[in-house]
Amino acid sequence: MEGSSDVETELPARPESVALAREAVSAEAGRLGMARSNLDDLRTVVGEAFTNAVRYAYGADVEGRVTVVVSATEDILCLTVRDFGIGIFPHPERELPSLHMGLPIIGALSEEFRLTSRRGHGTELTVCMSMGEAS
Amino acid sequence: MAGFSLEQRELDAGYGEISVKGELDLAVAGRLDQAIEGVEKSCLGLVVGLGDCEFIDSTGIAVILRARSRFAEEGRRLVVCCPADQVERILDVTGLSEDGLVYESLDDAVEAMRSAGDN
Repeated sequence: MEGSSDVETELPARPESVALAREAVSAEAGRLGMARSNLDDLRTVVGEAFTNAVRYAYGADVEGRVTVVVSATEDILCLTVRDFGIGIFPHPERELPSLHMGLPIIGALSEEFRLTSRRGHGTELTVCMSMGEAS
Repeated sequence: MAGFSLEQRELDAGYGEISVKGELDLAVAGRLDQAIEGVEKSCLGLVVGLGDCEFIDSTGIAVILRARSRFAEEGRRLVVCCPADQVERILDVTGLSEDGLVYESLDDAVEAMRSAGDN
């Protein structure tokens, strides 16, 4: 992205990493100038995207990794959440059954998103959001 | 990053409240699920207080909605109250603010459950 500043965060694919990812991306977005009014939506989007990776990318006994890359221009911030797991694949629900609201929430809060999955090689979700007007 | 905790108390007339404090996400949603399961057989209705909940995600919402369905199957109600900021935003985005789940205050939530019980 022209004029972008790319920052990458890598965390273990564990439930407790979700909050760390939210806070890391939110802090970076704030530093890049995202309006405070948009930061809550960003935290939600990061959480949903990272949660999907934690829940679905790896087998129960696999210690996987998830990366989050933030790129921004003056008007748009894009984040890419990438895992290196099995790709999107049917599987039984685990401890907490999902209502599959994650992607619809991401869609509602973002300008656009792109989902790419390659079986056996992982999934990449890129979400672009308005930087908003600085207060 | 806010810590997460749950506080449970009995209200009047057989109703109960579980207050959520902090950030309700994948890491802790199971704790809310267990807390609700622990009281759902013993109360006429339950309020999940979100006034001190600073963040909610789809896993937290799923726990609440599945619990609401369990309550409804037995003719009882589970409602939430007092959401603000990000929590209110997500309940709005998902359309849940307009389907009788969400009340602005604890008093409103209890009154709604009482009214439903009278009908």
